[in-house]
Amino acid sequence: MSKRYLALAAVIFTLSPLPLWADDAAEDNRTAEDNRTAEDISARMQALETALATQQSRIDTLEAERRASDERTQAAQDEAQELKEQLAETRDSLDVLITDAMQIETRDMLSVYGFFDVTFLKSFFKQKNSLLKTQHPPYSTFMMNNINLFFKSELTQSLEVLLETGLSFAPLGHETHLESYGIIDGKHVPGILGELDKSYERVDTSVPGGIASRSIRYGSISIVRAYLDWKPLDALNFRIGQYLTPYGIWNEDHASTVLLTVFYPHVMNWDLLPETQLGLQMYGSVFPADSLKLDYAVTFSNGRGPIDTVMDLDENKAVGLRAKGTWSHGDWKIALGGYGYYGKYTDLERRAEIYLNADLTPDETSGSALGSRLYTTKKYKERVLVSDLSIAWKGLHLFGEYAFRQLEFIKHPAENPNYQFVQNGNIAERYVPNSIGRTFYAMLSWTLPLEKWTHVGVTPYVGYDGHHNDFMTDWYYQKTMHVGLNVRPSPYVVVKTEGIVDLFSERLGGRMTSIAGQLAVSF
Amino acid sequence: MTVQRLFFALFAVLFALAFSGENARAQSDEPIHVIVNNSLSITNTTLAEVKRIFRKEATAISGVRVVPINAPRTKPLRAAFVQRAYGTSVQDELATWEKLKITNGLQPPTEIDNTLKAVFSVKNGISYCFQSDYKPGTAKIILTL
Repeated sequence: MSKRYLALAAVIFTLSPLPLWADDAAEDNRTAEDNRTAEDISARMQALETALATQQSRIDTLEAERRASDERTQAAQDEAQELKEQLAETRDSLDVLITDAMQIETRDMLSVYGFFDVTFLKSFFKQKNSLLKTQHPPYSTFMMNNINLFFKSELTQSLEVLLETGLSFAPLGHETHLESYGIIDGKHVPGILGELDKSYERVDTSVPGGIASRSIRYGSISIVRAYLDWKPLDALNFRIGQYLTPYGIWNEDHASTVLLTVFYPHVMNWDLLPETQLGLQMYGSVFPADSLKLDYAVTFSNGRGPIDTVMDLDENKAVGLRAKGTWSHGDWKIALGGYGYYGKYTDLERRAEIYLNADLTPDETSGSALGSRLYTTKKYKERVLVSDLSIAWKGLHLFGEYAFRQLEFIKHPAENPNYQFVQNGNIAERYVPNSIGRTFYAMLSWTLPLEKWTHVGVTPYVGYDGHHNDFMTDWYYQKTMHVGLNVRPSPYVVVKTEGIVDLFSERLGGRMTSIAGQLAVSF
Repeated sequence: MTVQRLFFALFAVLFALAFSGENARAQSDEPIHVIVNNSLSITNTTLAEVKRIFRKEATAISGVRVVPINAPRTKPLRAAFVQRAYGTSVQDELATWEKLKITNGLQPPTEIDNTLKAVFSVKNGISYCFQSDYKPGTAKIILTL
């Protein structure tokens, strides 16, 4: 019991405030010190809070930077992915392109194309017994005048070959001798015209087609063009072979699908210039301005001759110069050209000779008893000038050609008795004279502006074509008027209808009026 | 019979829609780039030169020989190009080529469906494409029509 009391007393003593009461000064000192400590703690706390705020701010900044960095990283990754996909796509495209590279051929190693036409003609003659009936179909008829095949090959970028052939039914129907009767008082008097009055001859090409087959009519193939082109530069190209004479407008545009009219103009029909030449040609184009083109051609060939595509029968070579300027601006296109030609025509006969002495032994005084001699039977020189003009504006087209040919004989041949217009039957002493030929044609066409409604091209046209040659007589001329309509349902087909009035001297039959239709097809 | 008519009508509508879209593209104002192979040193040209090249009146631009490549004649790209370059229709252009074939023995440029690929592949190639079909790097633009 006493121990309990003692312990209790010790606790009470221990916990009692007696020590505080015991020393008040010390208590005051401690209070002041505690106050300073609290202030210090408060200041430190404030400093810590400030530091904490600073740290938080830095943390926030760093956090923002991290987020931004993440976004940039994501963007970079997205971009990289996109680029990767694009690269893969491009690689695939390139693979395809490279694979196709071997399959693209821009050269035509061999092209075959051509054109043909079918023509219907009905002529009406002013005179019942017009002489023109011997030169034109006397009755209405269908004809196929052109069946041309082209073979074209582009060997390299600068080497090309072109071959144009013409298929024909000729010589079927060729009248090798046109019978000419001398009529007195309505009765034929045999022999009055000498050699002219012999029987009518015409080529018949019918032959048996072989055993157990039908008979056939053979035809012919003509070589229109065959040449090699070397084109190193636009301004300097070379052509060797047989080429179309580069004159005028229609000689080179010779296809019935291209020509406006049904028949060729007189400048071509009358051969004022050789249609083709065999030899060399240098040609090219220059462009002094965007709207201006200048073309030239220099020809050097065998010229005209009886067998000029086989060989030249004289040393003289024909030369020609072509120049043409084309101005284009907006809807206008104007072209002016000219071609000059000079050459000699020579025909001759070649003979083999054996030189003998009077006793018929070989005469070798000239080195050999065998020799040859060339006899010129016909020789003339010709100068030809051709000019052409073309003016196009929208669908209107005015164009024409003028040709002048001067022919001067060096060796006059006897006139061809087969086609001499006999006046008195005395032709033996007559020779073909020098002559001057002139031809002029002008055409005006209008391609109607129907493109809003149809692709069919409709082109009405009118034209005049005149020819005069003093080769025979002053009264030989031909004046032709054309009125026609071209319908082009596709780029490959042309349907032409045309009315033609030909005026000749009354001696030749006067007027001949014709209607013609033509279907021309290119393929 | 009714089903056949329905199919026919559906086909006709689709055909008309397809071609109206094509024609619309041909007649749109979308620019056409005249493009050449990347290997060529040509940097620009004029419309007059382009016209000559595609008519084969000339074979070189600034002394550099080029090989023209056309889009197929049935494509709207061809129609748009012919209209902008020559102011004419494809029909008229084909008629011109029929004449040039006969007169000069010239053959029209090769026709290839994807002109961009063609120019990429052909060393001296020159062609054209709609702006939206052009892919940078595959060919060089020398003129925009």
